[in-house]
Amino acid sequence: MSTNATDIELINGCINNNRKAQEHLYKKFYGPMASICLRYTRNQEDAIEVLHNGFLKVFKNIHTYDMSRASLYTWVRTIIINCSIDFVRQRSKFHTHIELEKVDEPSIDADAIQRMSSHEVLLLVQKLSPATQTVFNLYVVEGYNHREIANLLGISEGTSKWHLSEARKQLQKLLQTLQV
Amino acid sequence: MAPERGSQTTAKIITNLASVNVMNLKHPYEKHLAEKLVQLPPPGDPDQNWQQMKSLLDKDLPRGGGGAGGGYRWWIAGTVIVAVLVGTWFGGKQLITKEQRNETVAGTIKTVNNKKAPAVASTEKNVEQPATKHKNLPGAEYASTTSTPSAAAVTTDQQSDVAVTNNNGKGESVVPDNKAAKARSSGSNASTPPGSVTTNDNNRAVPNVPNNLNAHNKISPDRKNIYAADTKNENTRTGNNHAITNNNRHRGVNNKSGNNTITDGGTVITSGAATNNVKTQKGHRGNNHSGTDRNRAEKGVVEPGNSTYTPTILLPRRSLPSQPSTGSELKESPVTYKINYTGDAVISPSGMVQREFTYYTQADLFPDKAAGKKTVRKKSNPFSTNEDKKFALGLSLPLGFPIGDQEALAYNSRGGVNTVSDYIPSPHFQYHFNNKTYVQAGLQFKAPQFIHPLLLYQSQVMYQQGPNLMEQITNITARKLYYFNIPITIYHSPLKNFYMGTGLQYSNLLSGVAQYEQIEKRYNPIGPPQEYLVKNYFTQFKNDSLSSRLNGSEVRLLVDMSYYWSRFTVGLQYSQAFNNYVSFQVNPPISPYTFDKNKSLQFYLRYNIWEDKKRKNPKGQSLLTLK
Repeated sequence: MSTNATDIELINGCINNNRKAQEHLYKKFYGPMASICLRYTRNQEDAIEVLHNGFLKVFKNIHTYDMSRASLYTWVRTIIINCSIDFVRQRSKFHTHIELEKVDEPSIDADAIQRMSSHEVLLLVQKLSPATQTVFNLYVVEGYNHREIANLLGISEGTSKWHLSEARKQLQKLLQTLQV
Repeated sequence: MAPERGSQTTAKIITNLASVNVMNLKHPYEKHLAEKLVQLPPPGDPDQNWQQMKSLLDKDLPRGGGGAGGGYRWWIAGTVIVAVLVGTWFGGKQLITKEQRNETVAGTIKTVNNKKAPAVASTEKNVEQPATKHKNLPGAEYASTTSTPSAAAVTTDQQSDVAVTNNNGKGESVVPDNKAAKARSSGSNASTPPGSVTTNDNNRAVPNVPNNLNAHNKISPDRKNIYAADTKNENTRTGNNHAITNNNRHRGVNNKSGNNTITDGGTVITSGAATNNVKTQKGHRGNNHSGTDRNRAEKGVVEPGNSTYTPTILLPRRSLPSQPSTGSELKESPVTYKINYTGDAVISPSGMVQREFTYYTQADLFPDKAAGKKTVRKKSNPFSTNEDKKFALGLSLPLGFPIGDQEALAYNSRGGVNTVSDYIPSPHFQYHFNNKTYVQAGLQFKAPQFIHPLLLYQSQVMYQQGPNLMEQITNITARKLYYFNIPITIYHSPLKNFYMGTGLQYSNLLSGVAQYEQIEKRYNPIGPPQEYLVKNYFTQFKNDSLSSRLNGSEVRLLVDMSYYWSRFTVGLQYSQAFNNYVSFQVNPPISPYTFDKNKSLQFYLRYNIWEDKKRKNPKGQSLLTLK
């Protein structure tokens, strides 16, 4: 989403600490940002808490936003994701170095996922451990690679890979359980 | 399966290249999973959660005072308060100083002019004044520290009916002749008996004036006699003479201050060890001393070397509050002065004659006159004096600034880009009560008012376009308003040329500039919605449904600071409306109420084209002559 004239006014209003502009910005990005927060947290309350912390950072730092580097949406999304990661890191311990000796790739039926609703998929993902859930979200949904994830979370690439592998295995188990 | 281990239990990395490759690839089911997660419906209600967010913002990012631009308001209010305090303080100080100065100046200057001299508060500077004359100086004495041993005695010659013992501090003896005495003597001294001798020591005390009745005798200073008691007395009287010095080189001096030195006819006033023996003749009119002669007297110059010590001391009886204990034998003089001098001379061991002196205020000396002056002051009430009143007509050139959350807009009242019409000068009318206070009324026919963008109208239409859901949003936002203003302000000057004012302004809404925006929102199955700006332009709104949403008229409070110089005035004016110009819901009942008050900050330049000055200069006096 590119930054248009409305966004510029919105940004100016937010820089001036104008509540109306802030409200407009909040409501404009509420849907996608709240979904992001929901993916990284366990429940709706936590998601809203993360969302608000993220928007607070957005409003406090909006004067640093450079529209030539990224769209407003991308900038806000990055902040929200970082806030989500911070939230998870505060509540769960990431092992900094885990080694992969052997990887057995699980087989998950794509059709089974297709048949599921968004809410069901979310519940499935939320059953993963917080660290694993975060890595899985970053890798699968956000599209980060392991190096980026490792940098974001302060872990090694191997640990990131282990978490991804762990997520896949757990999801396989969960899906099998659901199908049973 | 690799178990999780802590960082402490780091083991050897055994990587399986094949498995790593697999790890870097996304599985097909993960794509579906990602799509499902992206399409998650947002949790909760945005409006409800906004309230929570708002409270968080109020806590972490307060707006200062709760309103838009609160910080600016406090800043402006603070500036005004500080300016008022500083102005009042300086202004008050200036007034006090002026009053004090007036008293002193009145005393001094009027002394010089020999008219109604109320008091003399002299200083050492006066000692060096060559010639002054005084009248009716009842008791002011000034101190003079005498250290001049070469003081000269002044005697009058035989022709002079007044013996003026003047010492101009240059060691010259001066004997005013009769003509000079006649010429300069004032009528007030007519009571002086002929032949009276007044010993005056002007400027520098003449400590020792050898008596010499012979003219042309030069007086040589005798340091031994400096500290004679008589000297003190002489000096005491000198205090009055500082303003009576004559610069007449050839003529003796005389005196216009009759009351000060009145001597008995034929009496020779001398003093102490150093006695001035002055011969006087009867029948002469001149009387008083009062005068410093710079001239070498043609006659009657006393040669100090030939001066004869005269033991006879005739000391004028003066009312001295405290006689210095100089050890001199002062004898009562037959001469009686009518005026009491209260100053004392103190002789310091170092040989300096130091004087104690008393300052008299005008009120002390002339209570009647002082009372009269007060009356005059009362009459000079700024609102009752006609002298300072004047009318003025002129033009004001305003330049507005957006303050707080207001935003400047470079569009004119018709939505065009030429904003010259925003700077059309407005006429004003001034009525000056005096130099410090005036009232001003003005007319601003089309004054721009910056506002925070105000959403006046909004519509949202949803429709399907192919696979996408489209939403069309139309916003009309007020960006600038135009008012007809009638400001009335009263100004007062706490400092020279610096004016502070306050007043009221009636404002009537004429029109406004609105921004018309049409936005299309496309909701994709995947990803966030995309927005497109379809239309965006500025237009005027006037007497329509949009303008009816705004308050038509309002009253504002004005606060003004300006610098008035010649016919020009530059200043800064802040105005704040008492009531809201907007109070409505855009889409009732969903949207919240919008409130806002008008406020403005204007820098202005004024020029008084026509001024009707009622001030009249005294006849024959112009500003130049007054200077």
